[in-house]
Amino acid sequence: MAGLLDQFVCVRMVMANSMDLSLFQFDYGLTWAAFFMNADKTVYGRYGSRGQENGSNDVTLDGFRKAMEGALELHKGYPGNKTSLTAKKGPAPRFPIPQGYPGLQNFPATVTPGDKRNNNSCMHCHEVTAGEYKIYRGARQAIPDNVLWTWPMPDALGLGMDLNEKATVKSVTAGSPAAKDGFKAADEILTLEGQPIVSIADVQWVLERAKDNAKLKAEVKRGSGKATVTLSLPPGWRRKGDFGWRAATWSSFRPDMNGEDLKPGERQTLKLADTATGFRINYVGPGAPGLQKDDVVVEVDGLRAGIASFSLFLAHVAQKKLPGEKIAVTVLRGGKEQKVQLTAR
Amino acid sequence: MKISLMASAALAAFCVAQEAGPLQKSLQDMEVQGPWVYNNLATGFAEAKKTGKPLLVVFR
Repeated sequence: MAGLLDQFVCVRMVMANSMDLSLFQFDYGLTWAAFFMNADKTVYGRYGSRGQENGSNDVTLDGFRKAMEGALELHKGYPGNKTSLTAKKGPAPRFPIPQGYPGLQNFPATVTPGDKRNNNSCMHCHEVTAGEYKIYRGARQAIPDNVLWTWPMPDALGLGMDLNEKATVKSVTAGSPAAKDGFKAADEILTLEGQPIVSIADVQWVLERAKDNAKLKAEVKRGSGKATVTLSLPPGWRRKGDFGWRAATWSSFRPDMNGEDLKPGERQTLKLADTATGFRINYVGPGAPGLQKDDVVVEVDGLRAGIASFSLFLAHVAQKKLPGEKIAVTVLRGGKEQKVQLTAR
Repeated sequence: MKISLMASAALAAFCVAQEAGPLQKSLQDMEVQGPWVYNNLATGFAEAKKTGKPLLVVFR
């Protein structure tokens, strides 16, 4: 690793204060994120992914090493490959720096000297996402799917990725959009929509920017040859993902509780169909009286179907309930149903 | 090897004796040593331009 790192100028950024949001567009929910860049600010690629509560489970040293090697290859080919890298930067953001967001204006340009780490002057990256939520909540508008399910993981389309490689498919879920489009296990995604791919984060970047119903052209290495596969994005595909782990939801619309999806065996035991409303509560805060840990929510605002995951519950709150409005839930507790009322924030 | 060990492993590879700057000291963020540019993008970009190396920018 030392030999690889020595080929880069390594910069560590420890705060989001005054971060250039036009240049650094990444999943702000990450606790560790990396950019590979040219000195002229051309982005070669990104590294860092997260699709679950434990932020360490979707990244590995081997995957990071392979991403660095890929970035070095792109650097060798620069500027001849410049056109292929153009789309690695996104459009102008809503604000040039995070301090433009509501609730973040009072953060200083940099951390106040003399303060400990994580002090009140140190802005965390996830506060940018929370700022986006607050824009919609303040305007009493539904938070769109592409903001809630931001930076979707490829497994939302049925692509299970090998964390120890750049962007190699480890498994393809039967019946998924990726399966129907012809992806196979061991396919290595070389380019997606013409962008060279050095990591799973690079795949996520293309997905993040894609519209529903888009058809994304992927060039893959398959066996000793190559193949072209078109990845189709069906309506609502993002909703298969999980965003309940995002810290930003806690300072925004989320009621004071946490939940987790039911396992298949649990659904069978509880006689709940796959699409039936159902998730388990695993944390109750002071702001959610009446709820108890291990309650299983089986109805939300009269809906016994369609809220089959904790993320879909949070989306229901973010899209259907205004701040302060009540959310009527029915829970299974000790084998009996009970009514509980929560409050959207 | 998970990311929780990654930062330590990668950064420990660069244990060269260099004085930590005032921000790093004030944050008591002493796990980073050596040739990592600490929280200064302008310095990083200037060094990359001078050396012809690509940048690795880590947000942590």
